Amino acid sequence: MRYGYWILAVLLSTVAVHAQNCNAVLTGKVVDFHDKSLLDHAEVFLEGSNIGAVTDSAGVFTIRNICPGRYTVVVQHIGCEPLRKSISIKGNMTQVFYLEHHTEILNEVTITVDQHRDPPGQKEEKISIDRIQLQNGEVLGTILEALPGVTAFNTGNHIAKPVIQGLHSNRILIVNHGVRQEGQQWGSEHAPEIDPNAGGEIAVIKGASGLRYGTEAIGGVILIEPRALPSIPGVKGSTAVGFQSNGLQGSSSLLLEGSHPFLPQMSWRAQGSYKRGGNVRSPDYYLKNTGVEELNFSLNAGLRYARWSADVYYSQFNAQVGIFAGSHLGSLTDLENALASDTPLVSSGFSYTIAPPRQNVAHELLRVNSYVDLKNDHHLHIILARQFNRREEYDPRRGADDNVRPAFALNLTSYTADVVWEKAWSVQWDMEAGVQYMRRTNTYDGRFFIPNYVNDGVGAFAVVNRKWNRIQAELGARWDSQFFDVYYLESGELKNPQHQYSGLSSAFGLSYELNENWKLRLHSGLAWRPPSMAELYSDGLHQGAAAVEIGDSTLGEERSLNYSLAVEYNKSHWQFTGSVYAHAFSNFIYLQPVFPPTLTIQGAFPTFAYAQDPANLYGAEGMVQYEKSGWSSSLNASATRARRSNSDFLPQIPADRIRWQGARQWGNWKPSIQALWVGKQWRFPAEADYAPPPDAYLVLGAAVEYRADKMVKDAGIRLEARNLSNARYRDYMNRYRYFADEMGINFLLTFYVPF
Amino acid sequence: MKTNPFKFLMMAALSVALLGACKKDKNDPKDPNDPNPEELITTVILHFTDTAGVAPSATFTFSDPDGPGGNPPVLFEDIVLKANTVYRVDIELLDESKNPVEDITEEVLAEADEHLFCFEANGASITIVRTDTDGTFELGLESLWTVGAAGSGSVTVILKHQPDGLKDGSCAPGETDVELEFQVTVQP
Repeated sequence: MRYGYWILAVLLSTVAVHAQNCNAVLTGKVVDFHDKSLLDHAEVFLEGSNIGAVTDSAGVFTIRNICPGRYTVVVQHIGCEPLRKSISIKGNMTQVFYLEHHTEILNEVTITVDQHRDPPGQKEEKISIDRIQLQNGEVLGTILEALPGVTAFNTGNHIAKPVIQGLHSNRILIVNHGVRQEGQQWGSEHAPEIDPNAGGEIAVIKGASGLRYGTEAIGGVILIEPRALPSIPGVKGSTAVGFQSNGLQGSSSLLLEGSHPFLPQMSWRAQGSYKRGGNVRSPDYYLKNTGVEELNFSLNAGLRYARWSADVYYSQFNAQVGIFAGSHLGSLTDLENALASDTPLVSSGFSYTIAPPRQNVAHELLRVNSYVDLKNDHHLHIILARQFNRREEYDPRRGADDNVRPAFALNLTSYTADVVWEKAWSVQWDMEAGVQYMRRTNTYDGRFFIPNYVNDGVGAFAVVNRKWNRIQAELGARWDSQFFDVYYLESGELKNPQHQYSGLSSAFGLSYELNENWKLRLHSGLAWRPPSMAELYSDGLHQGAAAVEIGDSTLGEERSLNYSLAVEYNKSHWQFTGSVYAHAFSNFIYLQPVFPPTLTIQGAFPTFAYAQDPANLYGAEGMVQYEKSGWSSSLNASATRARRSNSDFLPQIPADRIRWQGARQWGNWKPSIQALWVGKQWRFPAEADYAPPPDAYLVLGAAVEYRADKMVKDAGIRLEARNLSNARYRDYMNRYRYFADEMGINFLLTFYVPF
Repeated sequence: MKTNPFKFLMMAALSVALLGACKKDKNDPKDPNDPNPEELITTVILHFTDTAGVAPSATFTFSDPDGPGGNPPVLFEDIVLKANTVYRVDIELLDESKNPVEDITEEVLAEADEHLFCFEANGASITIVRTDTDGTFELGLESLWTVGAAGSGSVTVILKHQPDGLKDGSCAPGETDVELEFQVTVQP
């Protein structure tokens, strides 16, 4: 990497820049938010640097020798939740930081308040970098499951799509490094193409939101935040190594970063990760062809000055995932035979071999991000990005080339440009507004699945934020227009239908602090999304699902009204949050069974056509936690209900669940135990499924974690056991549930070492 | 500290350099590919020959030229046979979605050790035995149909793809490539 670093250094040193004086001083106080007392021994530091200070008995701190620039200041104090605030340091300045009481929940997903973007009507929940570091080798969807109310829609262990408030795929927006992720998000067997090791912390906002990023955020937004570039000269890095006993999966990641020795404003990072796993094992048998191999890397370089910063980020995600051989079917009879059998019809031992059926996924992101401070507290944020996504599906076929030539492949190239203007008039008033342009081009090779298309979209939004003493309110609106130019061959003849969709989204949020213990949040909004290409044009046999799916090119936009109400309570050792939500869709798009079944050469297949009807989703989530002298115990539960036209249930809604966790902090050691109970989903559309949902189950887990020290960037070890009792169970939200049990006992060992 | 436009240019130059390394989509969206480039079986033709040379020869066809989905099958003929006759049946498989039409029979024959035809007679008095082999196990491209008394029923013709040593002579393993339930009438 040193080689690349020097190339960069030489490249950028040629630019005539004045060496800056790194002698700015940041002074200030740290104050308890509730009783306004001055906090001593609070740590204040600039993220990505080693520059920091500790407050004295009067709550005062002084940090010297700061190069001017934009920083994220992190303030930590025992018993308080860490505060992160982005500030621009142009010269000597004074700042007062208010810290709130500790609200860290037991599974160590830190809930922090981001002063910049936290929507008042919805609680933003976060997974910290330290958490991700000790989950090396795990996919994004699985890591997100640690958050209450977030579940996964799985195709085995390596393909996990996040589900929020019962919604997934096209109804969840994923924003990676400030850019909306453009992948083949329509099918259930397509997971987000993101390496969790490449980014910073991950934030989840549940419910319709994310006006800034685009439409489709009906169920929620997942933000993979960029990691701040370092700002002190020198090179440092970290490495993480993970091992999983089930599937004998090994994984590792390496990160190197630094700044220019003479020009600390210029910094860079290089990161890479690799993993390989073989067939996983359920308690009684191996699942044939369930291995995985992934190779990812990212490069980031940037400049940071007092009034502007800019960085270039490039990342590549490459995965090869085996599709369980027992789930690939030729006919309805094959499916019936598989369903009738308790164990998979294909058996195997352990192997790392990945044979067809398998998928190959590559995703590439190139992003240029710049942030400019204009006069009078105006800020301009410009993000330009290009993404390329290629998905190849390999099926077992006659002929020797089934492992060489994919049965079909999709190529999606996306360009996006975002310009956002931010302005804060005072502590009370601020506003952000912006415009977005995108162009997506999708083509296919091989078997028809979705047609070629060119999609141009424009959007514009504005969000106003107002703070009073105890009340914070946000009001925003967004308008989008999308144009689709579709190309496909029908009986050798070129068809070129065109579609135009446009719509208004809006959001209103309010938070109200009744007193120091109680807080209320209210959110309501209007959301929409254009129908996806699969919903409009798919036509053919879905081999994995043994069903024929037929699109409907006359489908209109999907619109919904969304509400949520949350209450938060926080007092001494107790913490409680509870929320209810509802989504009222005027025209929900779903798959409806069609009769008679489609006759094909492989027999008759159940047939589903995309249809559009009113539907309602509603649910509740709750979390209660007790923490005292190192012991902690927490319970969280969630339930979702979904019906269409007040008659039939909607499919693929997670069953009700309760999770309990208990932990004890002993110095640097932290052992914990966990139990997860998932009920049986008996609310499902009977005629649209092959087999009834599986029974309720209980899985147990235990972990022990060691952190070398209290500071953020320190070494750690984690040993975890999942499914401790080696229970046999199946989950309604796993597509393999028709064919095989879930994974049996699995030991995970992770090391994280900074250097 | 003044913002230097050259730095912006520099960053832009750097990103263009990186852009050059990006993966490209080689296809033109306005020129879509043939939707069925890979091998399909669209057509099954059963050729019946009376081993005694008395009853006339006959062929019965299933054909779905655009593959599963899309347009429904254009041809799915009922089998009509003579009672008390022994027929030799040759199966022909075609991919009619291609121009020229591709003969899949050859490929099945070439990979005989990965394929097996199975026959399930229901109702009608017909006994079916495979008469060809891959060297170890039976194949079924050729079979003998012994037809008994007049009546009606059905015969399901199944082709199993059993790669990677799955083939063990039984119909259970593998994936189904063809599964057609032909209606059968046996005339007196």
